[in-house]
Order: sequence, then structure tokens, then C-alpha cells
Amino acid sequence: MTVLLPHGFEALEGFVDQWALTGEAARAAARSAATDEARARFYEAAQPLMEPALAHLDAKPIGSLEGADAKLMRLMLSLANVYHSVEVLGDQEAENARMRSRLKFTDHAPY
Amino acid sequence: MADADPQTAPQPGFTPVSQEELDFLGTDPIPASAYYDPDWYELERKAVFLRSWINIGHVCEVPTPGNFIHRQLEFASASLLIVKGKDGELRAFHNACTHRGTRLVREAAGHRANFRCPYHSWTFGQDGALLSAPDFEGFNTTKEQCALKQVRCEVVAGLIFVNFDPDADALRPQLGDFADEMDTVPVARATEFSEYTYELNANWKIVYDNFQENYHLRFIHPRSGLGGTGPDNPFGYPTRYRFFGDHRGQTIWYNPETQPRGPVQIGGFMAAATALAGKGLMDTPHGREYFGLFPTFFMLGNPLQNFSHVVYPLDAGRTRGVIRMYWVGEAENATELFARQAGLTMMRDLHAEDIDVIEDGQTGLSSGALEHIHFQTQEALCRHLYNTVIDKVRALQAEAQ
Repeated sequence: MTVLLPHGFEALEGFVDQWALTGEAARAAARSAATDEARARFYEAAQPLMEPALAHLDAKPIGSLEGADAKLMRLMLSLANVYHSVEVLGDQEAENARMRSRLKFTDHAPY
Repeated sequence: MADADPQTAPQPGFTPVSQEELDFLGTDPIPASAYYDPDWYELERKAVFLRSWINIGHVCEVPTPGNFIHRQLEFASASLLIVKGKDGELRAFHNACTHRGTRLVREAAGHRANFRCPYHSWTFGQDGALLSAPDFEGFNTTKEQCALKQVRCEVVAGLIFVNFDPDADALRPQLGDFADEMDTVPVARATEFSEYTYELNANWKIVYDNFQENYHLRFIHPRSGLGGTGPDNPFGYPTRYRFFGDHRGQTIWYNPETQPRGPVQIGGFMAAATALAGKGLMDTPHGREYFGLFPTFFMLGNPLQNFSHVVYPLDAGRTRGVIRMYWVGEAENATELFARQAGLTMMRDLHAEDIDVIEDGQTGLSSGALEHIHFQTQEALCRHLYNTVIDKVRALQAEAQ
């Protein structure tokens, strides 16, 4: 069986396909395309693991995360997108998503 | 008695800047046609955009000799090549071979020892000199006369500005106190950035004005405009305005009672502050300043929101914008990378909220329904922009007579 995420973060493995995406533009698009329920499920699963996940990743050189670690990094970066829908925008998310689609990333993110 | 330093003074019981302090800007209504009329835009294009310093990038994009960036500036129908030379100098050239005008570079950025025209192999150095041209003896000219056409280029606080007017005054001396203050902001030491861009169906002044008044904050950004308003200052008006010739600024008021809205936002802020503090960037002396450089550049001094925003007119009713968040050094660890992403998300969502009202404002004005628009006291920066544009257009017209 392929190990998707580092030990201790198995609870997030069901979110890898949808959220462990490479690049700012891809993550932003996934956030906008998701349903409210999908964003909430991801946030509720990932937010409690934010501190341990970042602590795990901080122990490794940021420039060379690979495999399971890189996937976990991308999940955390998606959390750094999705939080704003859940914690701040609430029912303004759909309107915001429509307008923010006009703001296009020039993508050169490392992960 | 000297005024209290607005950077450090406590702000209980906010008092807005008075109309009397701003009377010099006038109080008349503003002709609406300046915001949609193509003939007026053509005057602006010549009087403002072909004579002013326009931010087109940052020195971190051209770190070593041979690095170049390529920019399209629609208002000038120009393709520019900004090159760092072997001598360390930054120069801007028209991206046009002096033989028959062919573009030398198509890619947005890169590194080259020299620039060879694909058409007939004329080759130019990083300083714009024509180095070689096949069968050049057949031309009735000299290589010296065939150097790339240069455009003025100046760097302030790491930001690269160009000016199509060869006789323009240098930028830095125009900026008054702003120049030294901008040098203290993280952008001056930035080594990388995140960027998003847009095209909006709106006149450049309508776009820019949206970002230089706070009157709209409580209505358009009720949730995302964290700390911008509060009971003492329900509209989030600034604590002062400053004007240096064509350029203008405000000192941003922040609600001291502001609380982040959730655990990820809190974590992002704390991580960002920790990372900035570790680089000596958190307690910068001008963190509450808004720097507005005429005609179309502004940035905040706040190290947690050190973004620049530049608008480029495409025509009388369309505008391209480039927003960048600048970073000093690569993210040192996952937490810093996470914090940068969280800040970027907040900023992009905030900017998104302005889009409808900007374009709807254009729709209303372009209908011709209004003869005038109105700026209130706390829209002083919008009025100053309009006044400055008028001065530039009148100066051009006077020269033509």
C-alpha cells in the first residue's frame, strides 16, 4: 500500500486528491470549485493538525520536501486558502469566489 | 508644540483630518467625463503616462548581469526590455531591433549574454550597444547610431520605474519624505514576491481611487477588512494625509481591539510576525504608511501586508492591475511558507471584494447620466489625483499653444 502522508497524519489521506495540489493557482481554483461542505470537511480535519503538521515539516529543509512530506505541505497550503472561506467569509464565499476568479495568479510557488 | 508622532502615538477617540486642513484641494464637484471620455484619456495618455514614472518591476527580478525582464506597456504601445548589465547598471530599452523594429525578446524574463535579433542577426550587448550586424557595410549608418533605444529607468526602494520622457525630473527627489521611508519597508530588501493580476472594465482612475479612500471599507469589506474600522472610527479614516507634489499618502488607522477570526488566521498572523521579527522586519518605523506614487503605484508600509498595487490603463474604460506581496528571503521553513500563503489568501480575497463596485461605477459613469461626481473630505486623495491629472493635461495643452 502506498503511504500518502507521514505517520500521524493518516486522517488527512482522504483529502490528498482534492487538496494536495501543486501551485497557488491550482489550490485557489480547488477552493473555489469545492462545495461548502467539502471545504468544511477539509477544514475540520486539517485545522486541528495544523500545528503538528507544520512542526513535522519545520524539522526538514523547506527546499527539498519530497513524497509524503511534500503532499502534507501542499495540504497545509490549501488549508491556508480554505481557512478564509470558513473563518472569515462564511456565506460571502460564493460572491467572493466569483469576483476573485478575476484575480489571476502568476504562479511560481515552490510547492 | 510638535505634533505627536502618528506612527507611535496611541489612538483613543479618533479625530479625522479636518476639511480646513484639506481646503487647498478645493471642494468643487468633479466632471464625470474625465472617467470615461476617450478623448480625455488620450490627453491623459500623453500628459500623464508618457511623462511619469511607472513601476514595472523589482530589482529582485534581475539579480545578476544578463538577467532581463520584458514588459508590455499598452498606454505607450511599447514593449520594454529591462536589463542588468555587466557593470551592474539597470537599463531599460525598447524591445525593438534598430534595423527594422523586430522584437528581440518574447519571453517574460530570462538571462542572456547578449540580444540577437532573429530576423537578420543584429546582436546587441547588455548595455544596448550594437555589437555586430552581418554585412553592415551596406548600411549608410554607424553602429553607434544603431544602439537600442533607451528609456529612463530609476530604482527607489528596490522598485524599478521607467519614464518615456527623456527630460523628466528624477523620481527620488520628487518623493519628499516618502523616499527614505520607503527604504525602510521590507520591499526595499525583497528577494521574491507572489503576484496576481487582473483586467477590469473600468477607467484607471476609478480603479485607483477605490484603493485610496477608506469610506467604502465598512460596506464592502465588513468581514475581510480586519482592523480597518472600529467604534472610534467607523469608516476607518486615516490619521493624517500627506502630499509631496504629485504624490500622496495617508497614515492608516488600525483598530487596537482587532481580533483575528479563527485559529488558522491567528496561527498565520503569529507565524508571519515571528518570521518577520526574526529578520528584523516587524518593527519598521513606517508600518502605518500608505505610499501613493503618481500616477498609478501604491503600497502599504505594513510588513504584514507589504503589497504593491500598480494599475496600467489599457484604454479609457479598461485597466490592467498587478498586485504583489513582497518577501524578504526564501521562506525558511514550512511555517513561514504557510504564513505567507495565509496572508496572500486574505489579501486576494479583500481585493476581490472591490471588483463589482469598481466595474459598476464605470457602467454608471459611462452612461453619461452624471455631469459630476462628488468627493467628500475623506476622499482627499482621490481629489488630489484628479487635480494632479488636470494640472498635467493643462501643462501639455499650454505647451502645444
